[in-house]
Amino acid sequence: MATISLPFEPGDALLPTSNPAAPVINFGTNFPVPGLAFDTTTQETAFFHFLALLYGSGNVTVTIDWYADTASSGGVVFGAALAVITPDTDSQDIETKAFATENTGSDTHLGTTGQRLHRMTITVSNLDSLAAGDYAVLRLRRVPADGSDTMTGDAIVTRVTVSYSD
Amino acid sequence: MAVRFDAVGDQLNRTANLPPNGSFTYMLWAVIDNELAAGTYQPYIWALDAASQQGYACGVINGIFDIECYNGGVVASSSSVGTRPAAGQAACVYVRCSGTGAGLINAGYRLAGANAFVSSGNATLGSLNVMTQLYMGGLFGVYWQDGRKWNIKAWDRALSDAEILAESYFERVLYPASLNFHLPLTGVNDTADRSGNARNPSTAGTLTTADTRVQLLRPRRRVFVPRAAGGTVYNEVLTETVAAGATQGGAAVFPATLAEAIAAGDSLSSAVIFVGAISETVSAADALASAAIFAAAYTETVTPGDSPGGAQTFVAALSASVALADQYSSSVAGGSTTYNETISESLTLADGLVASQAMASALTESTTLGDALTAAGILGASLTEQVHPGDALTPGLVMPAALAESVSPGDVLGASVVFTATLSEAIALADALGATQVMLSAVGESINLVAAFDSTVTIPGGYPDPADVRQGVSYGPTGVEYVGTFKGGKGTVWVRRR
Repeated sequence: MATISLPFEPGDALLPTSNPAAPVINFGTNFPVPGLAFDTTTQETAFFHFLALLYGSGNVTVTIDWYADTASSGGVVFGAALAVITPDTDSQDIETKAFATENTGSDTHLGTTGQRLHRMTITVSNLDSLAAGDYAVLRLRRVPADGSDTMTGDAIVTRVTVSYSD
Repeated sequence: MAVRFDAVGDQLNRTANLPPNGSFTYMLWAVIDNELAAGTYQPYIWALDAASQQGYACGVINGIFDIECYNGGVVASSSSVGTRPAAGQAACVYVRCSGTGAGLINAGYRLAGANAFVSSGNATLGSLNVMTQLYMGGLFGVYWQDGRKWNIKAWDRALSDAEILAESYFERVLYPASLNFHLPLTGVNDTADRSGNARNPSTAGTLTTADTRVQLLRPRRRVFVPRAAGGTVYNEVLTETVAAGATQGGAAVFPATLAEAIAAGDSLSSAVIFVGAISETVSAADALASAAIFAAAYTETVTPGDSPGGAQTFVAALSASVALADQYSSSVAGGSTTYNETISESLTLADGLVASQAMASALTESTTLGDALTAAGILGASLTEQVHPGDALTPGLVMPAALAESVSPGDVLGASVVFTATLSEAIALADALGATQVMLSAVGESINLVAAFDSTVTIPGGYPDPADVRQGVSYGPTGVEYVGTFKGGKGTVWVRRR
């Protein structure tokens, strides 16, 4: 059994017309850092489309690399949801397809350095009947309304990785 | 990459299917390379009606960034920002108009490295004529921008602030709804519209290609190499470099022979199959894995004291010189040691022989007088010993051959000595005969006249005296003295006494 990992950069994101996660490129001391900034008060969203190649079984793991824009403490909560269509099988209209129930995960700023890079995971168990070869869309959004989301300022996501077992 | 406008008259323009008044958005990236004379308007984008009397423009002049609306050839409405992208600063610029009729139009810029737009207020577009000229780069006369531009997008709608911000980061169009055209402008050879609407601009002047200095977000290209499912059949030959230590999947089949150098100490997995013979130099004391199979004869010098591992089979005979007192283990681990050759050991007198030792050959020992023979000793050959007078013969000793001893006068014969042959001894006249001696034969002795006879000497039979005792015969000087009774035979016995 092998693990299939699909990494997504900020440039891979598709954004909604309303409350999209804000693309940013912060020119650091030595190199630019692209990211998607998720607001601390407004729920902002980004989408990642992928082909569920060689999906075998089990939950999907969404790994999020993020750093705080301005904070050095507090918690963040992200939600991940899948919308999956099996071509030639599902009669669902692709433009009206809904997402399965969101799964959430949380992380806490480790302190010491404000803009240190963190990594958290979300276990997506609501798979919307995911099968190998399916057309799949991952919706990623910060959940400021969750009581555990206490970190001030933007949470800037630098990479999202979707993993599953073949 | 970008398109460089470096002279008056360098421009890209469109004259048809422009976005409608009252509802449009333009967006582009630009860098001013060289500032024009103070007070000279340097437009990013300029739209005019057919008479060139009405229109709108977004540009910089002196120290401001502004949006201007024209009517009758003059500025009718404008709004500005007190800052502007300086020469050399890359910036994303937008112009957006919403509403119809007296449409509100504003503009803004975001410097590369900043994550927010600086926007003007609204100017009033009013009821302008339909725009039929759109200039990107220069306009005419002195109104132009000495710089470079790339990724120009135009919509037939007013994008939201969020949409504008997101679009400014991406090379591709994120929100294609009502997209009018998209000019990536990757160079002078690529000024085509990518929207699918075929709204390619016209070129004027001499344009060149320049770099953009700003990298926009773009999707990563991935090459996905899936793992082959078990049982997958490849019609092409797969070539893979197999390195030592690589773990091969269970069903992997390699059409070509895998060659790997095997070194001493390598650990070989149990499922490995070697088409070729493995050769390894085996040295004394090498630890051989229990499952190791040697196709060729394993040659090892075995020296006394070596400990051969259990179950080892030596194709060739082990030859070892067996020295006296070598110890051979009777229970070698994994089996018994078999010697195909005869071990020969010279036995010397007094060697200790183990009770269970088998001697294939007859032991030959020379027995010398004085050797102590143990009770259990079996002598295959006859012991030959010379018995000498005085030898002490142990009881139970069997002499298959007759002991021959010459008995000499004076010999002292032991009490139990058995003489199978007749002892003969010449008895001489003066011999002293022991009291118990038995004479099997008559002792013949010639008695001479001078012989002294005991008193009771009985002379059986006739006395064959060679000389008759007769008259006149003198028997000795004193004659014969007979003490006792002299009995003569018949006849006349003359006794004369002197």
